[in-house]
Amino acid sequence: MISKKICLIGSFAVGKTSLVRRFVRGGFDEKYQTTIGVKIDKKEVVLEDETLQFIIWDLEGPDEFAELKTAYLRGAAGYLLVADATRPNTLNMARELQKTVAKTLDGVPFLLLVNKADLSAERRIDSEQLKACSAAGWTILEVSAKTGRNVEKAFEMLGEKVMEGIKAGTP
Amino acid sequence: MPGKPASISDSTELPSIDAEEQVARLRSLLLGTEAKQIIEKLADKDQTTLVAEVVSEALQKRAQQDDSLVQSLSPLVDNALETSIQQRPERITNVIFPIIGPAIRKAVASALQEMMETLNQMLSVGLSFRSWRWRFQAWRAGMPYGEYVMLQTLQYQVEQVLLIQRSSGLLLQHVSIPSLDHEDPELVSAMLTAINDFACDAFHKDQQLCVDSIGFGDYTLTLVAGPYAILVGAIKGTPSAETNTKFAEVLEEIHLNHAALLTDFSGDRNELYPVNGLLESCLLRKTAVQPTSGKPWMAYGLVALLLLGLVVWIFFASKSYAQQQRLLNALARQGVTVVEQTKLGSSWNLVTLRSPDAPAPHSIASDIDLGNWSLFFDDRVIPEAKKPTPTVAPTQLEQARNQWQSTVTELQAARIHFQPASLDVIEDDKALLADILLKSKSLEALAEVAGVAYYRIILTGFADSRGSNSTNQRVSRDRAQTIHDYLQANGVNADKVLLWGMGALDDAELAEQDQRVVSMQVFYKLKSQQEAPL
Repeated sequence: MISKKICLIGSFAVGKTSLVRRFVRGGFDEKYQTTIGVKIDKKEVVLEDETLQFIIWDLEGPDEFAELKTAYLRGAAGYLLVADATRPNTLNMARELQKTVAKTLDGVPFLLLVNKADLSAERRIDSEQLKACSAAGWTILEVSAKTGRNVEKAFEMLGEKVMEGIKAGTP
Repeated sequence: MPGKPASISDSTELPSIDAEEQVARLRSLLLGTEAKQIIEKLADKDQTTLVAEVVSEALQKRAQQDDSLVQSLSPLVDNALETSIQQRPERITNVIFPIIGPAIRKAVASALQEMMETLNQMLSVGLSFRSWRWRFQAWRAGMPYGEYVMLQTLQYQVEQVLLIQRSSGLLLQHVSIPSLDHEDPELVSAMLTAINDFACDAFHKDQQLCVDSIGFGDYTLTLVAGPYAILVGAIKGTPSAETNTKFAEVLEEIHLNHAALLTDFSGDRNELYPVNGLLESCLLRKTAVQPTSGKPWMAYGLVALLLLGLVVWIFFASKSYAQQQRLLNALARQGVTVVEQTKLGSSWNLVTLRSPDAPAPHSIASDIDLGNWSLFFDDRVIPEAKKPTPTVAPTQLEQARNQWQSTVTELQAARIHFQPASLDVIEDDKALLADILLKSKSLEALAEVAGVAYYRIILTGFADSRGSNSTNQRVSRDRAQTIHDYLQANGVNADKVLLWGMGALDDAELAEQDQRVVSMQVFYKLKSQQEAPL
């Protein structure tokens, strides 16, 4: 089994910790508890021909008072950018964060997850806004930590991208 | 060798020569005069022989080139060995016998030595003054003695060692002491890396390692950093410079010999298996109380002490037994019987039985050396048989009662016989009937003087078994009635006489004539001494 470090990055309160909780423990909690620093979990992802063990670093979401701590990114084999479907500015923040992350993790695979897909009535990010990201070659996935929609799939897709990188010789 | 093979051109010019001869000529031209010898040599040897000549050198040469030969042969050797063991186990047994015997002896000797050393150490910890002091202190502190001893004696113990990739925080390898209940080392390594990253970030230190130790409770995490990996030791107790030095040495060796594995770590920890031995060498332990070297004199001393104690105990036990036997024999000789004895500590309680003329057991015991025994006798003397008291003249009441009793006994012994199928008394019993009359009449007068409160004469009639039941019933009653009427007619108070017919007295042991009878029973009640006449 191969262990790999991945990171969850995104603005504050976009649901990074909830996504990890849904993925690792299969639950959801409405109560919001901000992450301070970093929270670490692990979970195995069974792919077609390999089992990956993700060491998941759930990073504190940056805001106007705190920047992303890039030291935590070192050695990551992939990352998930998370935006909140009900807050358009979190998508903008995700774009900015990606630029920052790329300085440390250049060429490392990532996915953009648009979380809270279950809140369709409050949705503020439309497909036009996401097109720009698609055009840049990003893989985008609508997810919901609350219902579990696409959460497993998101981690599996990242796992496959990581495996592709390993096979290509860029572990 | 000729420049141009003449034979080829010759063959075209001399077509009359047959093919076999042509081949022979060609062979001669190619191989010259040695052709015959070479052909003969090759013809003598089969292929197996040819291979056998070169196989050893070939294997040696190939083994020097790479390890493919080992990999090819390993499964064959494994299978061959397995088959050989299955088919002829005794042969393998015979082969390894010279090895296994000494190995077992060595293992047993080693185990015994270890056991003695453990015993010695246990005794030094368990029986010394210090151990009792620790027991008291552990009791005061409210913690188990073992835990207290551990705290007192253990200077430090490296319980687990983690090797962490510097760049990613991924766990490269992890070793721990047996039976340690540890947290998930992968999460621990990631979290330690995060803490270190946080410290470096927070304090703007451009260093590989900003945190070199973390302390909590009895534990200390000691971190040593290399260019590609961090070595973390989880230490219980107080770490010393020795541990840091060891960690640094091991990390340097890992970097020196396995740098490629550290930098190109794919995430598969099996790749780092070769460093396990080095990491295990970091599981150091140091105790404040070092086990004594050399022979376990304390254990030997204890064993000798136990033996000495056993000898002393046997000596005193046998001495005590002899003393007891002396006393018991002396008591028996003097006619004192020990019926029960109990011992409690040095107290010996005896229950004795003796005749009045036998000496008291105390006096017997006083003449015997009984060591430390404290004797307690329950001396019981058998009382002398009572001598018959001198006779005194009976009182008037006693005389009257004796006479009453005598008369009653005689009446109750009397049987008045009847003739068969008749209510007539046989001739022989008529005198008896007259005697019964006198005695029955005398009862009334005797009852007065003997203090008889109440009496009744009961006449019971019987018949033989010749007649029917109803006839026998009737006849038996009529016979009793006959006697009753006789007594009444001759002055016996009829109120004092009752009668009863019992039917046939069907008793095979009685003669038939003895079944036709009337018997008498006297029921009475005596007055008390106070009520009775003087």
